[in-house]
Amino acid sequence: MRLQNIEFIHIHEDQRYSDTLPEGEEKTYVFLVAPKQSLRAEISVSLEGRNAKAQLLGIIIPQRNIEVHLSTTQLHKSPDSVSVCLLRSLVLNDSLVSYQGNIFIGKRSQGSDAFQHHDSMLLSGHARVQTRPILEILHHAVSCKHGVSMHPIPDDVLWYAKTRLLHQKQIERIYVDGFIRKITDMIPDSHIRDLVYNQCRNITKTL
Amino acid sequence: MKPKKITPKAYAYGFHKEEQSVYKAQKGLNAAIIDEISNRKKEPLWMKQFRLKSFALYQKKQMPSWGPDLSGIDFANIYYYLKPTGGTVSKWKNLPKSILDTYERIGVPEAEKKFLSGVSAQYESEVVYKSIQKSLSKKGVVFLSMDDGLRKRPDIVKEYFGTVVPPGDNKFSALNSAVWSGGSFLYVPKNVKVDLPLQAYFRINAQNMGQFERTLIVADEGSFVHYVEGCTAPIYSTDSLHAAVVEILVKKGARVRYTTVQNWSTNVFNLVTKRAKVEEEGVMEWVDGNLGSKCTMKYPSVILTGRKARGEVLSIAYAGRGQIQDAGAKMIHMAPDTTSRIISKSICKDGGRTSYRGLVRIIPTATHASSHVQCDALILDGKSRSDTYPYMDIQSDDASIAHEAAVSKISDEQLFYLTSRGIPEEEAVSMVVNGFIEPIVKELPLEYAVELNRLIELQMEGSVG
Repeated sequence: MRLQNIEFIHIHEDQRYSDTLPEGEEKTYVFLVAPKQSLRAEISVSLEGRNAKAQLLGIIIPQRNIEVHLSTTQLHKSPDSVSVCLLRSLVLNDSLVSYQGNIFIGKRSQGSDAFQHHDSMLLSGHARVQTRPILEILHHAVSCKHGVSMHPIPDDVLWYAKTRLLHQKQIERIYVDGFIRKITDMIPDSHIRDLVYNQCRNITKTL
Repeated sequence: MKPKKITPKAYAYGFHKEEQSVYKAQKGLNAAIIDEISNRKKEPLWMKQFRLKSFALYQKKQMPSWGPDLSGIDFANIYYYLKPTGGTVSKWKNLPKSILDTYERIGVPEAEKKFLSGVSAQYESEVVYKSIQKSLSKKGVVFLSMDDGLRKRPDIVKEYFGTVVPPGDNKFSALNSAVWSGGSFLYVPKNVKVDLPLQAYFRINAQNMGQFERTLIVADEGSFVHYVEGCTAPIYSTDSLHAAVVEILVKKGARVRYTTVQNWSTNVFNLVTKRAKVEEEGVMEWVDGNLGSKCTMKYPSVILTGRKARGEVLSIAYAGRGQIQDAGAKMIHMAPDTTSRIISKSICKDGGRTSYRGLVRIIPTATHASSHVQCDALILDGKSRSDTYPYMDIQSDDASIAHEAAVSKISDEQLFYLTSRGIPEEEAVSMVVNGFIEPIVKELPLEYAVELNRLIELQMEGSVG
């Protein structure tokens, strides 16, 4: 699905996606990776023109005991370009999410600003997450940040909810809902926002 | 407004005094020199054997295959032991004039009067001055040079020496274990809180000198101590080597804070192994400021062995022309409910190179562990370089882990805002840099925070123009 300045990419098998942004163009890429079989996917956005801005919003939910290998690339080739990549993974059972986040800032990309963050929630003792941020910065006058976090549902949250007579499964659903909404609420187009949110809800209901 | 170009001020502590010694070993290292060091110190047999075994390990161990280039160290051209005076004194006036003058220029006696519980001053290979407040001695606090600690409290030293940093840990810990001299031995008894910091001051004066101090701190149950160390050296055209080992044992419910303001001259290789072992509900905090040296490799570590133990590393590194600051931290979680935090800030300028190299390891038995790592780099020009090598090995399924890294320059907006309010550009740069390091500086005692800010400002001079 492609609307003006926003693109939704539903990944359920091996896939390579790349796009380029010319001068002054701003675009949001929304990707949902919720496969039932192991896959490898690559998403690459090249900011070719001055002041180009890219926002990558992604949710990964492996639906079975599978491996998901995903890489994103934020390629800054021009000055004053901005890219943000926010990714959330929900990992259950024996699944593996392996994520590589590449940020490349070229020699003529002064004033660029790049950000990358991968949050993972592990809902099983056997679930695994690997995150590899790779940053290559060839100009000093830039700002570049990356972050990673991984955690189960915190004990204090579980305790709080249980004292309010919620069951473990109910608590998980509420927490997962909030976890996903952090991404979906940032989608600027309401149609795609509802589509992604409802798909995630349908998947998490069955998990 | 065109900013005025200012020439950077010279390193303030680069002066040197005429070398004086009561004994100086020949250059280079062999078993006979180690034997001689041990004999002169009248050490027990177990320590001499420990040294000789460590020397054998040192010869077998390879130089690190990673990190900065250390090929410039000429091990055969270093003096491994130099005894400057006849012994340790407890009154400044009893020191030889040239040594006293050195410490007065650095400001140690004045600092002792104002805000320290005790002071240890090491000159070349030996501690030449040691003092501690009588009230602390009465409470059972033992603060001695490591050599005196071995003589006066052999029971504690033998129990813990080399247990946190074994000689075989790396080539430089093996070297230190073979030739160690000086350093501090500190024992804080159960439930004793040492309110004011204890300070150790390390000075290399001689050319081609190697300083290998060894520090052992044992904080018994429920105790607290803040230990501060500072270091300077003269500027020579040849390189010196500083390879220290620091071992800390934090017992149940105890808290130790270890602060370093490292300001070696830019001809010193600073290769230090620092590690703490923390028991149940104990807290270990490393506050590490690395401003000087030619090349520093230092990764303060905390091994969290007891339930609810906590480790923290707050680190600042500055690398100017020709400097490499390869610093970081290691957190090893071995018990449930352990927590750790690493905050690393680095600044590089004039072609300097900073690296953050860190490890967080959570083993399967460390359930409900949590760790947060943040490393920020400020690069002030196009000639400088900053690298980040965070390594995380999480083997527990319920750990909470977060890692953040940021690299940036001083933005034009920040400079415009400050200069439009009449602040000269150079001062504006210093203000932004001091703001960048503020989360760590605020953890220092006031006097050290002021000193660190002043040092950073000195380094920033000449950054504009």
